[in-house]
Amino acid sequence: MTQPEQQQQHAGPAPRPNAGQEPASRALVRAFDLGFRLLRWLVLALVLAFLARSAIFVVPQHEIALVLRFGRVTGSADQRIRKPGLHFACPYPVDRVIRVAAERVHTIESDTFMAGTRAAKTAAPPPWRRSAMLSPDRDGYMMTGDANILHGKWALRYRIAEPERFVFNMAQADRLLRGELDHAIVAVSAQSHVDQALRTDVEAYRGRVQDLIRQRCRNLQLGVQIERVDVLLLAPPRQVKDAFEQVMKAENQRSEEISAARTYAARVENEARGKAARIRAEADVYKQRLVSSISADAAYFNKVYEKFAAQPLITTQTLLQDTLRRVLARVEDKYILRTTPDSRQELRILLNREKDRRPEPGENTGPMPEPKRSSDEALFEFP
Amino acid sequence: MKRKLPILLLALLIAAVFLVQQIFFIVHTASAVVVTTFGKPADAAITEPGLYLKWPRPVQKAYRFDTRIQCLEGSYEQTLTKDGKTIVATAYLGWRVDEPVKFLERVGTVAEAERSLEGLVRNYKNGVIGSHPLSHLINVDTKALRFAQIESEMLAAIQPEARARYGVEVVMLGIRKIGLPETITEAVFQRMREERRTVSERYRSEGAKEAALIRADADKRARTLLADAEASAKRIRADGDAAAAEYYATFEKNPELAMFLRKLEVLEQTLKKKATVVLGTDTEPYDLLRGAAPFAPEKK
Repeated sequence: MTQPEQQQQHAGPAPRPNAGQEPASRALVRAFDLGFRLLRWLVLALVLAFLARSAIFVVPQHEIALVLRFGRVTGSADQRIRKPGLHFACPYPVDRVIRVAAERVHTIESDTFMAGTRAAKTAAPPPWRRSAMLSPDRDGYMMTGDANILHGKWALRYRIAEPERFVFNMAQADRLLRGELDHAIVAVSAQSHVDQALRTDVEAYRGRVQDLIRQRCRNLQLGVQIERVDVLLLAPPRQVKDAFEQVMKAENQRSEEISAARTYAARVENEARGKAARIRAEADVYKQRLVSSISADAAYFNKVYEKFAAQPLITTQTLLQDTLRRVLARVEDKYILRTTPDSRQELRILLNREKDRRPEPGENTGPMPEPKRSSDEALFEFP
Repeated sequence: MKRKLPILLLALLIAAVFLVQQIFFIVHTASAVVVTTFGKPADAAITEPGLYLKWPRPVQKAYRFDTRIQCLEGSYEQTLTKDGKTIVATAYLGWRVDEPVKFLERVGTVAEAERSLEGLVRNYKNGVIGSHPLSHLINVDTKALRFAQIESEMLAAIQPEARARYGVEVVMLGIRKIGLPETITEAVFQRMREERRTVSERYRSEGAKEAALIRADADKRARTLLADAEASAKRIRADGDAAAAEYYATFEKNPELAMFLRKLEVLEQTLKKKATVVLGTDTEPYDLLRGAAPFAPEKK
């Protein structure tokens, strides 16, 4: 019998105790009936949806999944890990699917070593009541090997390299890894100089923290691969900030002085090299000039000597006369005094006559005074 | 009767589910289940994953424990070191349920276990740190530092007791925080300021010193370069002079002629345009001006 027929049967031969209430009660019965039917379908749909939801599952591209059948991971060696795609499993409670974001890089930040971190969680003191001290309840910080105090904010980036170990070894991965990160920071800070940690060797300091946490995670077989430990912030406490800034200033000053000195050194050295090269070059020139001049003289001498050997007088006289001709031809002032064997003549020469001298301003430019005999004048007497 | 059938079926289904839940239980990987019969735990826990059967309540009851590593952070409180310094330190540890039956009997829950373990950590932390000076905890000299050793000592002390008392395996332990009491930090800041001042001064004086050294070194190198250059110039000149001297032998053939030629050269080089030359008529060829005839007429 179909449902509409049933409905008709209900509606048709039903007894009618009260004719006035009959339509109302019929409507009520029909409404209840409809409600129950709808509820039945809804329950069925929900059950089906639940079964489908737990039987078919999609693993997105950044995840992998483990399927546990009665608590045990299913699949042989290389099929234990379900890669991204569509997968099937038996409905709960037979199978249970555990999803792990294995391809993602996860980040854990630690502000354990920041000032006022606990205060933010509890009652933060107002700024005007900021203490000159650091309270262990309120402020976090790192102690360095030389007993200095530093604040720092760190980040640990990791990937899940072995999902089974990751899932089945740690109950609270984030908490445990944050603990490991803090531990590595404390352990490495405890052996570092404040200057190295804060300024001069931050990279080595960071690297040691990274190495330590890597080693610990490997030993504990946590199934994570530490990608990197990052220093997000490193700062001295605000109470001593000025003193640290003074150090930086002094260091800058030192660098400036040294670089100025290096510049000076480079300049001085280059100048010296230049000067040295010039000195050597001058010596080379001297040598070459001397040798070539002497060799030319020698060659000239040899030539003249041949002629001289044949005709000494003619050769010497010709050379002398030729030289005088050339020399005296270009000389401006030439005086030739007639000399006889018994003549005595006096010749006055004005030395330093400065023919081309330009008169100084205010200088007497009148007629030249009569020449007087002074020490500047020389007397040449020709016999 | 026919209409009651679905309701009956539903009731049966619910009863079956309830019964299945009561008699079957699943042991997951990395967990352990202890079954108690009338409150008495079984001799050993079930740690192998799979589906198991038990009598329904109240006959048997299954207690499930997570056997993965749990994390516990100890309290952050003051401790005295061997050399009488007060520090504040926190240790954290990773532990797991190792003997589930004992764990169920002694502590029962994770929260209770953590409370008990915290007490253990406190005791051994104070004990171990109290047997080391502060220089073993923080020191720039890594040879003198005993940080890892202190942690291992604490771990070694806690491990057997945690196992014996609570059925818990302590997997690892680490110091997560080291600090100082609030009142001491001010003194530390004062010392840090002094240290910074010293460092600043050192940098300044180092800068001046290094700059002076660099300048002095540069000056020295420059002087050396010049001195070397002078020396080699002198050698070059000497070479030149020596090479020139080889030619002097040529002039030995007739020194008078050589000197004569040299004099001519000097004459040529020294008498320039602005020179004033006074000559007597006895100087050749100006002797011609005296009317001297070089040659006597052959016929008079």
